[in-house]
Amino acid sequence: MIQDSFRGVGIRLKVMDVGTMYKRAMGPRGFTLAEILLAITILVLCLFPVMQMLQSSSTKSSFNEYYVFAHIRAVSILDAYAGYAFEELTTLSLSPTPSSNIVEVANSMSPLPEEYKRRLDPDGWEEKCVFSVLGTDGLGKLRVLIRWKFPGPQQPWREYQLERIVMRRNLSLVQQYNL
Amino acid sequence: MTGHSRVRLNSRGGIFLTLLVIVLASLAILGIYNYRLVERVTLDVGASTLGDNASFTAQSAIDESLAYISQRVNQPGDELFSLFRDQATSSEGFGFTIPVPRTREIIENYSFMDYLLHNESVQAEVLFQKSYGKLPYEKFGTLKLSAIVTARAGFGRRVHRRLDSRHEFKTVLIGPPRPFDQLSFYLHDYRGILNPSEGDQSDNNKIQSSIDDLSTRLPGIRQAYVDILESMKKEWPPETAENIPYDQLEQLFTQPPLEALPSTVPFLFPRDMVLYSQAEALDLDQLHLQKRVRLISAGIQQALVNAKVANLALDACLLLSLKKDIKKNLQKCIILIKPMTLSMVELSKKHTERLNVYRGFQDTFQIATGDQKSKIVKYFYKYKSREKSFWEKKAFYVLDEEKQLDLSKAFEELITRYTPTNGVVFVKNPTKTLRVHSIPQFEGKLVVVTSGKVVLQNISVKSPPQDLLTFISYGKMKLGGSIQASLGPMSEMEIAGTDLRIDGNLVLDRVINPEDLKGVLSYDPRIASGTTSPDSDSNAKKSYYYVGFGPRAIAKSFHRVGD
Repeated sequence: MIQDSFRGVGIRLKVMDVGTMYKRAMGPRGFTLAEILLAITILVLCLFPVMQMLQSSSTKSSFNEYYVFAHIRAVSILDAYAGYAFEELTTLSLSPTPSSNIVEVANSMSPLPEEYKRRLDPDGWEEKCVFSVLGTDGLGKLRVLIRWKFPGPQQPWREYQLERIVMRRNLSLVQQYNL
Repeated sequence: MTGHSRVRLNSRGGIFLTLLVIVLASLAILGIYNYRLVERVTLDVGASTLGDNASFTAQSAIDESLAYISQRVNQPGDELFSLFRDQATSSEGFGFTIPVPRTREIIENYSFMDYLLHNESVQAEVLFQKSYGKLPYEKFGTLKLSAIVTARAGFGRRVHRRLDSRHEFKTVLIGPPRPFDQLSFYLHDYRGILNPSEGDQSDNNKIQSSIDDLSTRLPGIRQAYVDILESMKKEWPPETAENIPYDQLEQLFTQPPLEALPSTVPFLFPRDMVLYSQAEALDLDQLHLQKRVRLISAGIQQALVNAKVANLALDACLLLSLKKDIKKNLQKCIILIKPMTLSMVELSKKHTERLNVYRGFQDTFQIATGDQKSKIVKYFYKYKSREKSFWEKKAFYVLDEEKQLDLSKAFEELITRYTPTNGVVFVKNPTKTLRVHSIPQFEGKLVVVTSGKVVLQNISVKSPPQDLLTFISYGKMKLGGSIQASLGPMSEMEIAGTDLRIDGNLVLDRVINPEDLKGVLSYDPRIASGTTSPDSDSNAKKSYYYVGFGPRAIAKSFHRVGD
């Protein structure tokens, strides 16, 4: 036998024999139900954060979409109002008699696109632009605040704001001093 | 128990389990990959919006800095006030930094974003400056403002944005062009008002001759009378001889107060001259010198005739007295002395009156001839021949008749809307007339230049220490009422009414209708802006230069720096 084991096929047979012998020694067996359940639980537990990550990515992606959208709207609003003459900005007040140097200016932006509106709470989008005169330096500040809310009672209001300083364009031309 | 609870997995079950594991592992990998992708996109989007916001913040910083610069350049005593008014002898620029506290506040308020403005200030640099023509004190140039804002985008990533904004600036004189600011009046072409006249000189010669004659004759005549009286006294009764009225004779023979003709009075104007004045106040009627002199000259002519007649009568009487009955004719001759002396007194009076007209003129006006004239005329030609484009380049505001339906209304709106109104306004009105009526309280330091006609009436400034107004017209300028402004009609001038009062100065090219020249002029010493030379501006009043920036940037460029 030992000599045979040094001759080709004979060796293979002997090895198989060892395997067979092992199987026989161990008897016919598989995973127990507990093992399988444990394995599946571990897998599910491992998958849970992954799913959460997917969910988070989806939420983030959705949030980013609105965040970017809000940014673009805010930039457009700021650009539009920054184009006005300084003196005209106060005349754009929503209130006919603004009581202070801070006025909420009328928002002439186009309405929210339906595709964005659909995914939000029915009253879940707000835009506000405020112009305030800063002291007597011929400076003013435009502030755009955009808020949005997804459907659901737990959903918080999310907001994006942008501020920009504007100056009287003709400031250098209207200075007064003694000769 | 172990044997019963075990589940046998055949080869198919093993494959299923393997596939399940592979699927779950794939999902996990996909999930992680997706998460990483979304994170990456989030970061990129975040960086992009942060970059936008950084640009916005940089824009805010630029606007804020320009606001401060705009004010500081026109605040006497500020460093920028001097820097922007230094003579631009070369095109070299200069730099400075401007802190921007308001922008810093905005940055601090962005709690969810982390921004940083480099040096918490804006870097300003005058890239170049160039003078208008050859005037080193009037110049234009470009100011570059740079702001760098950094935003932290997370995971050590930073977004840098640099905004470079270029702005045009102009430094202009806000008074009448030099050296005419030192004059209350300048008339380039005096023809029509002062005609060089030989007649005046001829009159002077006659007056001088009469004065000389009288001066010579009166003592001789007086002595002759005294001699005659002394010789006759012996033949008269003592009471008569004692009562000879010597004092009356003395009075009769007293020479009237005749003034010698001063050589300095310009009885005869040179043909090549310009007329100017530095008087604090003058009546434009004084310019009608020859008209006024002509009226007096008529009286002089009459007085000369009277004197001649009286002289001849006295001569005849004396001759007769000596030849015939001297006693009888003496009384008659004495009576004849009186008309002669009276005519001489009248002549003297008229002569003095005429002298005073000349003297008044001479006290008020000066004439420039020769080199002096050449020098001043050189400046005047520069003033007069300045092309429209020169003023248009210098102008802070341009009103064009092709773009404005009503020029006068547009001008009124301009000075109402932008108060105080400073700098230079150029009005392109080749066919229309600019009418500036009834401005009760103008505020600012303004030079208004019109290419065409302008009508000015009743204009006053609000606060003389601060406000200064100058009108220069290359078309006809019509004036009326009270005007607190320096006036430069470079073409024609017309005066409406008789109540013209100018507080400023008047630089005229010519007068078409001298008869209209009436009114009073008070020189406003505030219009004098000092003097400069090509190398020095130490004698210049720099508050007479105004610095203005263009309302919009001439160029803007955003740069991504190092991200």
